[in-house]
Amino acid sequence: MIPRMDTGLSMPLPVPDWAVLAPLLPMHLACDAGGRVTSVGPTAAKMLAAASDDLLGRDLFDLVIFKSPKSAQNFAQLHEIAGARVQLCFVNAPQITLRAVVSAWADGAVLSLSLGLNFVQGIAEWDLHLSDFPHTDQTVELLYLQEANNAVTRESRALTERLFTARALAEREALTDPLTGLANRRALERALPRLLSRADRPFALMHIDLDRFKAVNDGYGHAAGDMVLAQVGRILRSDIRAGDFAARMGGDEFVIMLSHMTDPATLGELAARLIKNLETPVAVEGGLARISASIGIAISTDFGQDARAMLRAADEALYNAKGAGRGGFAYARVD
Amino acid sequence: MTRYSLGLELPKTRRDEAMQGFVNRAFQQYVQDMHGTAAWEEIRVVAGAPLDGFEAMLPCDAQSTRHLLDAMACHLNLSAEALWEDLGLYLITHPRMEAIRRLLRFGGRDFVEFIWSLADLHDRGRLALASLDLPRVHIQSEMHGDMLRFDLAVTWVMEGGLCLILGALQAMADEYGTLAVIRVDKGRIVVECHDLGYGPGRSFALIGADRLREVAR
Repeated sequence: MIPRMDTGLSMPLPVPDWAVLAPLLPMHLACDAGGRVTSVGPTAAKMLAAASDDLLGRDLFDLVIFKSPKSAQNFAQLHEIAGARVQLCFVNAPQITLRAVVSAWADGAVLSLSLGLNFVQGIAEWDLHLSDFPHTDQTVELLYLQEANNAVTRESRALTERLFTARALAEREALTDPLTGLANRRALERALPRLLSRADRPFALMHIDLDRFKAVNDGYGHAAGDMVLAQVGRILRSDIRAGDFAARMGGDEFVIMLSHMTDPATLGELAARLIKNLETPVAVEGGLARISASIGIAISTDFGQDARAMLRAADEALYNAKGAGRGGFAYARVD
Repeated sequence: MTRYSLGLELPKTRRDEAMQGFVNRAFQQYVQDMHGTAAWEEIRVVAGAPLDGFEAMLPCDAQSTRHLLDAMACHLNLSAEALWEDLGLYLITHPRMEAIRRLLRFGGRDFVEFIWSLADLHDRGRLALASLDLPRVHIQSEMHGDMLRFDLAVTWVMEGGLCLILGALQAMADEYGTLAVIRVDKGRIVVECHDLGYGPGRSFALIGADRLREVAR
C-alpha cells in the first residue's frame, strides 16, 4: 500500500518509498493507520535491538511508550500529539527519555527521534558511532564540545594547582630561615599573637643569644660562622618537642616557644641543658669553634594577649642574663 | 625571560600571542616526552623560557616561539619545518595527547571524511576555547582515475601551520588505517588516498573509556 499524505488538496499526493527516509532520519519510526510499523531508520532499529525488517508490521505502541505531553496508545491519539514537544522511551530502555516530533496524516504517521540531553547515556547504552548520526545532527558536536570542555577544564585545573603549589612554596620560603631551616622573624611575629590568644594553651618563650659568635666569624671566617649557626638550628630542633616552635630572628639571635611549659624550675633545667648542648665545639676549617649562649625566659600567662610586651620582657631577661656573666639564663620580671 | 601577563588582561592580548602559550607548551611537552627532560632543560635555558616551563593558558612573549624553535633546532639538530611536522605527529600519537586524538576523530568515520572535516578545524577550535586560533585549512579534491586526490592550503597566524598539519595528517592516516601518500607541493599539502581500508587503524568510541566508567556509575 502506498501511504497518502493529506495535503488539503483535492488530489492526495503519493508519498515516495520509505527507504528515502533512512539516510535523512536514521532515528525515525513510521506507522500506518493501524499503528503497525511501516519503516524504521537504521539507528532506531539498533536502539530497539532488532533488524529493521523484523520490526516491520509490529505494533508501534508495543515498542514505544509516550510519556509527554500525554500518553498515546493508538493511532488516533498520535494525531493529538502531532507537532508537540514529545518525550518518549523505548520499552527495552525505559530509563532513557528521548525527544521526538510526530507528523501524522490520515493513513499514517512518522516519528523523528533525537537523544536530547540524555545523549551521553544514549550513546553508551546503544553503542552508537559517528555513522549512526546524520551529518546534520548536532549530537556529535555536543559530545565533541563536552569532551573539549573537559580537556580545557583539566588543563586549567592543572594550571591552578601548579600556581597554588608555587605560591605555597613561596609562602613557606618567606617564613623560613634558609640557613638553619628554622622559622624566621616574620613567621614568629605571625605565630606569637595566635598562640597568646589561646588561654587554654600556656607556653614559655626563650630568647636565645649566642655568646662569642663574633669571635668565630672573625677567627675562622663567615663559612665557619654559617656552620655554627646551622649546628645551632639542629640542636634547637632536636631539643624541642613536635608542636614547639623555633625561629632564627636574625644574626645570632633565636627564639623558641614551648607549649604547656610554665614551671620556672623545669624551664630553668631545660635552659641549662640547651646552653650545655650549644657549647659543644663545632669542627670548622682551621680548628674547633666554641660558642655559648645566654637565655631570657618569659611565660605567656604573665602577659595576657600582649605579644610585644612578652618579647620585650624576654629580651630584658636576656640582657640581665648576659650582664650576670655569659652562658646563663634569667627569668623575665613581671611588673 | 619570557613575560607572562595576567589572565585578566587576556581580551587585550593579540591573537598570535594567545596562541604562543599553546604552541610553546606543546613544544615543551614534545621535547620532554620525545627527547627527555634533560634535553628540555638545556633548550629551556638557551631559549630563555620560564623556569617552570610554559603554560598553555597564559599568553606569552611574541618572540618566545621563535627563540624556542631556534634553541630546539640547535640542540636537536632538526630544521624548524621538521620540528613542526614532528609536533603534528606527536600531538596525534602520544598517549599524553589522547584528548587531541579523540577530538580530531570526531571529524569523520574514515580518512576522507576526516580530511573534509579539517575545513571545520578552525571553528571547532574556537568552539572548544575562544582564544584557540587553529590553522584554517582550505580543501579541494579531484578524482585521478579511481584515486581521490586532495589539495590543502593552510593559513595561520604562526609560520609552521603547513608542516604541523602535514605531520598530523600522516599520523591520522595511520590512525584510520589508510594507505595515503602525503607530501608538500608548491606550498600546499597533496594527499593521495590509495586504500581507505589498508590497515586496522586505531579504535575510537564516541564516549571515551574513562567517561564510560563515569556514566556506568
